[in-house]
Amino acid sequence: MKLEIQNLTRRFGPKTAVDDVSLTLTSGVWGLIGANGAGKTTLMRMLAGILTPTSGRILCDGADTRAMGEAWRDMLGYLPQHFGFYPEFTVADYLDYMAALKGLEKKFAREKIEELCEILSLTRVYRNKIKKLSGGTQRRVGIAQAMLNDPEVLILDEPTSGLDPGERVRFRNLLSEFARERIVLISTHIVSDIEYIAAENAIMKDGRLIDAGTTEQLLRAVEGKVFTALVPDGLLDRVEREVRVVSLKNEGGGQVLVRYVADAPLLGGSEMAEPRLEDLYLWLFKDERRQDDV
Amino acid sequence: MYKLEMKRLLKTRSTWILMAAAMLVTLIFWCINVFDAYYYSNDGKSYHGLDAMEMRRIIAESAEGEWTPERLRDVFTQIAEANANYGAAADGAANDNYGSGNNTTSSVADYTLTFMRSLLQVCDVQYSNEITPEMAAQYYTLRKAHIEEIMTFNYGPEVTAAALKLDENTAEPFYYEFGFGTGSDIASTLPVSLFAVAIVCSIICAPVFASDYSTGADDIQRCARYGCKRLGKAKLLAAMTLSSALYIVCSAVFVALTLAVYGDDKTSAQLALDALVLIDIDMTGVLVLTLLAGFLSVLAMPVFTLWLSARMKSSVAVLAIALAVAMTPTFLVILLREGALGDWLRLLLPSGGLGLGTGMFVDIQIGEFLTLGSLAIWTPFVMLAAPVIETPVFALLAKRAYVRHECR
Repeated sequence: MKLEIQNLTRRFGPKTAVDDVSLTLTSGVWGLIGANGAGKTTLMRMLAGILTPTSGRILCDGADTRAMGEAWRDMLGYLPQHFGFYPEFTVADYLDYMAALKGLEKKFAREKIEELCEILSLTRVYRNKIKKLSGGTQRRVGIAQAMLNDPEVLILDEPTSGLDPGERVRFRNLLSEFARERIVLISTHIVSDIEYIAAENAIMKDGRLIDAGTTEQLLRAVEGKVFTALVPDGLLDRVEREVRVVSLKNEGGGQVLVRYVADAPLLGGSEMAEPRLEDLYLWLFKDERRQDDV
Repeated sequence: MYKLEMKRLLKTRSTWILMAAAMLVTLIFWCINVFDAYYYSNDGKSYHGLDAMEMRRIIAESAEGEWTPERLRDVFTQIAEANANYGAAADGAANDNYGSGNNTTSSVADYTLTFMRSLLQVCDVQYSNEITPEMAAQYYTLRKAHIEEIMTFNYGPEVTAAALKLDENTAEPFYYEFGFGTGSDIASTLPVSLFAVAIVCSIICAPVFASDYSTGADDIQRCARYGCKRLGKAKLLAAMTLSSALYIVCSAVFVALTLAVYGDDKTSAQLALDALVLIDIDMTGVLVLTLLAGFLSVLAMPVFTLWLSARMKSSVAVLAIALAVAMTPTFLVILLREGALGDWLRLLLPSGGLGLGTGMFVDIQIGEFLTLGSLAIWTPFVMLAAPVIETPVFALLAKRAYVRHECR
């Protein structure tokens, strides 16, 4: 299947949140990368059909998704950035409610809910009220509702926020299995998640799509630009001011291993390192403030 | 989808709390209606609550039946004779000047409790002892003249003609019997109780759409197969069903308990309320009309609230506007009573059929018309017609607003 985004633009008053984005999504997991305010959520909301584009269109196997109406929603699963639910609902109530909204057969819905609860470790909290669950568990409930109808297009906005490392690993595996013959689009600040899950990525900046391709293709942009160097911890403040640091690792003996991106090695004893998506992110978003979770 | 939405609404704790509050308010007003009744007897004793009601019933017994011109003349002849014999006439309630066992005495006491107001109005006198037997016998003719005079003074010949035409169907002679209409304070307690229930219905409806917008629940639902038009329709129907059911249950409890204590009331509304009641209706009919107008307003008010809810993201803002609109007819009655504009606004608002100092119980007895050029409509008719038109209009607007809504 193929999802074509054609010249999609969305303006909010004078601000252009998504600016003339064109992209063709094919089966597999797609990562959507960008800093806060890059337009990722707006793009995802337009794909989900809950926001009308100012111009442009989205085609699913050649058909305009807005014209498809129920048929499009039938093949769609969506988890927004902020997962809203009815506070009085238990996990069971909520999933039953969503299954009915998705028009699922009762038997199918029951089996699917059971299966997803098992995979997403929700069985134990099945009868608990959602409002009493932790943020991570609520997120898992959100993921479960998005996958209830076995969607052909799954759009997940920040699905891994709040999940612990074990849950994230299980979630990645689930998506990898799920994405066969389906399109999964994930946006997250946790770039390492995308690195593990996504086969292809799209990078957005200031509402525009600046690059798209496989992780390997994208990483070519920072090849030869990622370095590591041991630095005495007394110099760390200065290094952080002058060099775009990706990560710091205390090596003991007053030495810190600094990983940074630059056109050329800036620190003495620098060694070239294998680039990762995190490095690319920092390289591309040099003007953005460093994100805490990167 | 509808069942699902009903189930969801009924699972909400705040819905149950609000429904319980509505029932509590209903019972409080019923208690006021029954237990706040007072009666002071000729011998200086005071009765209240059910005892007062029983005393009223006993003294009202001999006044029951049709009040023909002949009966009116006879009674006032007896009063005139009693006045001559005892020297002072009673005005208002039962009077010690008339000893017990005196038939005239009990008659005076009886009818002063029933339709003296209407007689005083029609005969254009201040005290009952100013009414002569001949004036009393002319009651029905004088009532027509009274309507003509008031309408001509307030509106002009066209409205006067319309009012007299309406009144043509009023059956004479008028009838009196003791019951909820003449024995209880239902005219003030029932409308307030119904208005309170309508407010509760609006509070229940305020977050139906707005809360989903603000929590983000709407984003997820909207992506589901039936999450747009069908869900919007189901949410509307469920909220309206709940409002209607709450109103029906609360009003049924109020009316059933009141009828159980006071009994039915076939008294002509012209006697029990005001000479300006322009249609052939008794107090049971007035009660039915009041409940009907209330029901229509209870449909229109929540649907209006749902429309606001479908357009706005804040449940608090929705509630504030809905309550302001619900209270507007009450304020208009105070601020713009004399103005036609005030009347138009008051009656065309969704809450037009309910309110404090307004509503069917009030409008049926004040003889007011809405005029537009040569068009003159009796306000109770507008009160019934406006919500019948507004309910589907606001329902469609609410559904449309929900379907087209986009949270940014």
